[in-house]
Amino acid sequence: MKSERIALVTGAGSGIGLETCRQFVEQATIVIGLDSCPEALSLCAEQLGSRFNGILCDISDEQQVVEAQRKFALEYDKLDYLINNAGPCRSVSLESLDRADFDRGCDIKIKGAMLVVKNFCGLLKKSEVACIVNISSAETEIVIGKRSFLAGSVNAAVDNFTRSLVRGFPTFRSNTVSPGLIDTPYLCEMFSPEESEDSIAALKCRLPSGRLGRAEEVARVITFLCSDRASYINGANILVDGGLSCQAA
Amino acid sequence: MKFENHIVVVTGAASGMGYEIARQFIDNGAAVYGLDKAPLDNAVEQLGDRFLPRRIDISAEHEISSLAQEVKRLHGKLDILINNAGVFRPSSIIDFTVDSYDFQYGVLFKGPVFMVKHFAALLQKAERPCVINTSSIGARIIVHSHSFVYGSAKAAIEKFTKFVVTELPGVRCNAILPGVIDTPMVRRSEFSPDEQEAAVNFAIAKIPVGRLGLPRDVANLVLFLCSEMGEFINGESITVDGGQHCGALLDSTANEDAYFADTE
Repeated sequence: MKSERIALVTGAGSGIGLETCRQFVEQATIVIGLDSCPEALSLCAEQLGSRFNGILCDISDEQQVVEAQRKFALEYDKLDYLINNAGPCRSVSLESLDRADFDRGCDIKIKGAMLVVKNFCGLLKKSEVACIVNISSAETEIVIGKRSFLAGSVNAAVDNFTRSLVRGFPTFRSNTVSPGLIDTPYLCEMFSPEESEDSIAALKCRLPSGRLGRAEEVARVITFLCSDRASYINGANILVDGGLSCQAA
Repeated sequence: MKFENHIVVVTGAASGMGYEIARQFIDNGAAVYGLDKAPLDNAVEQLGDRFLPRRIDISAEHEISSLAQEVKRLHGKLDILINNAGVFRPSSIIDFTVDSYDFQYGVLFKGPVFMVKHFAALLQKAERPCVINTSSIGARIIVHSHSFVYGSAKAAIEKFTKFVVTELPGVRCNAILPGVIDTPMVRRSEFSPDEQEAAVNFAIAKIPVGRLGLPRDVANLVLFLCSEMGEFINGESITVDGGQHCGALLDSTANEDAYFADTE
């Protein structure tokens, strides 16, 4: 019998992370979800049952990542799938950008992803089917929020990091998924409060799909990339944006 | 190309590409604030009194904002900002440290972003303001997995360039993507002559034109983009790499380790 597959998902508490955990659980994969919000993690555990284990962790802090890895390694001797999903970037204008916004955006999204890979790559090496999926954003292709420069720039760094992983870990598959406008709690963070309602309505009209994406639609691509059916997909960046990036900027 | 009465800020001006960019702007009539963490004595000696040296660490926001206040007081505008300063500290993912991330992202990404933030108002006071962000072919091609921090930060700054265009109307902003340029970042003084030669040969074997880039190759592009000749080029990324980004010439047997030694 095939041994059970094990997945680690960062930012597991809501949105795309939560739906990814749900689909892994449905496929009989064991899921360890990291999130910095304890309430969100306990809600996940309630919904997803015994195949889901949450570990409270702020991935921008290496001590916490080390501790999460230690807890993980007490229970499991390998990791098959690593999903670097965490990383909201607040919408802010360049002129009003402050250090805290900048550091929070970078520290969770790119530094955090690097720290998680650093600390879990040893366990990934124990897997026969090791697979990393980094979640970027369609904001690297098209300016979505009026003020999405931080998310756009930092996610461009994430795309580049994925391709370094392909070179650095030839036995893993590493890919990027770039969601567009997805109906998640994060969507509101892409816009400043005063522009939020109007912008989202206006953007919906511009979307070829005519609607926002659903978190489960992104999660399906993530779990597909982890599956054996995607065994020759390596270093790819897949947009899941309903055609948004084909629109005029 | 004439840049008389232009105020220019160049980061990383003590050596290499930044020095050459400063030199060419001064040759063409501009006054250049040359920023560097390293001593600028040589540049001062060579470039005369239109070179205004400032020992500044661009990863420290308060140092940037006090320079912006000085430029505002003395000139009331900034015509051209060249975000050139770079550092390179390769490591494997296993050896990766938060310190090396903070150091490299501080200079390669955070520094340029906060330079633009603090000089935005002064740029908008200039007649034809222009910003150049120095990215790298490392933003596009993965030369070596040990350069993942550098490459990803360069990808971020290339993308940031397009957001400057949409956020600061009237300010032209372009990215340049140099390949391997013959500067102290490649030809390290602490390398033995043999090590230097190995590093250079490794690099050249991947460059279709068969030589390293020179600082003047990069400075020529920068001055073109900032001049009237480049006036309708905005938000673009231009490689200056002898064709290296078109694909590797895969027969190099030179020693990668020599090339990827720690440099800054």
